[in-house]
Amino acid sequence: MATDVGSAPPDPPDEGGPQPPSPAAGPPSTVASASPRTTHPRRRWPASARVTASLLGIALVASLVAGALVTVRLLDTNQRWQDSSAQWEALARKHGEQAAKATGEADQLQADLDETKRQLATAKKRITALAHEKAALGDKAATSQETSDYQSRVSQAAGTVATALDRCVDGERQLLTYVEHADQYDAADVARYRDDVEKLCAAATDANDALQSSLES
Amino acid sequence: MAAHLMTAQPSRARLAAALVVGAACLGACSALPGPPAPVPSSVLAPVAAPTTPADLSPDGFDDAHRATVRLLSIRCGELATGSGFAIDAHTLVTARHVVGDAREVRISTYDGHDLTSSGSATAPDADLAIVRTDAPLPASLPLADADPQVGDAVHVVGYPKGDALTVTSGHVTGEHKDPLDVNAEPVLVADATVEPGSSGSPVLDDDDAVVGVVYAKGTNDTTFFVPVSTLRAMLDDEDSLVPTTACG
Repeated sequence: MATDVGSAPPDPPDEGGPQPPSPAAGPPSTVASASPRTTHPRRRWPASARVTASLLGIALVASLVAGALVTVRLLDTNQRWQDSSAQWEALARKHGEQAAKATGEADQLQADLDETKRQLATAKKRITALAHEKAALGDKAATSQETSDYQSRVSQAAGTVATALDRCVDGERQLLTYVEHADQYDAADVARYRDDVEKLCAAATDANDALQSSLES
Repeated sequence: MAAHLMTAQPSRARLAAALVVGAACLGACSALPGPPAPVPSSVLAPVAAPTTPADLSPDGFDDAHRATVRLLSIRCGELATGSGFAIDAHTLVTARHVVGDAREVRISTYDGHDLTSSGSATAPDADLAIVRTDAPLPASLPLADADPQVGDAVHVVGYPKGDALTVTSGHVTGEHKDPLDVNAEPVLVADATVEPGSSGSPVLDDDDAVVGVVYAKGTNDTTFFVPVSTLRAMLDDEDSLVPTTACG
């Protein structure tokens, strides 16, 4: 079917006689009602060539349209990407500033934290030292209390000894008086008094022993 | 009929060509890069809110310090200091010889607070005792599940010589029969340094769990301590504890 445009015209159609060239896409009725021309027959393109040409034309137009569409699309896309790039850059700069600020704040906070840790360590040492000082004072107070209690016990024991000795000595003196004037007193009463004096002196001896024991402890 | 066919072919051809070109255009367009995704307002990853550890000490001291107390035992004409540690809000553990025969036991905490004892009791066959307090103790220490093994690291927290709260560290060096014959069960030895006044100090493992209680100092800076298994046995049989009787 492929035909060279420079070759001889093809065989006439069945209707006979030359026919004027008609649009390839013309309605069949036009072709059927066309009357024979009296002019010299024009050289017509073969149908396949016309179809090819038509197709090429359509393809060219379609390509141009498609190219235009693609170009528009590319331009639009390019603009969108440029806008997006600008927004990303702005966002990156914003986050960069935030990161720089946060880094500065973090450094400051770390420095504050280090200082706080040092202060805490110092405070803990001080608390421990103060607790020890207080405990040591408590020990001294307890020691003083123990000493005071001890001295009180010793003083009380010494007082008891002194009182008992006084009563013993007084009894002894009185007993001597009774013995010197024995004829004036009942012997049984004197003997009973002697026993009482001995008990007083024994109590004084016991008190003295208790005092000595307290002094030794 | 032939003319009809010839005129119909270009029409279909145009349509086909248009379809082909359209398809090619669509194909070409689809091959082009699409528009960029919308730029978000921020790309920062979400940051978890800061939290406070549940076991954070309120004053910077750890539980080992907060739970260890200083004991002043007032006997008749004699004062002695020792150490102890809390196992719950109102119960202290110390050495028996620290509170035995005491007329009064005074308790002071790591930060200088004074507590009063509401009573004490001693173990019959170990140098261990418990002391009850009216006021709550600042912190308490958990007991380890098992005795430490030779080579394990240990830490002793206490008040050697009645001085400031101190921590010494060492390792378990062995198990021995008690040279003082105050403990029926074998005791453990460590190379951590202790002094008089350290008796009753908790011996801790690396997790601050109690693995023993100091009761004696040996030669060459050795420490004798009652293992936690003996302490657990005492606590599990509190009926066997003997209330402390005061001197005089």
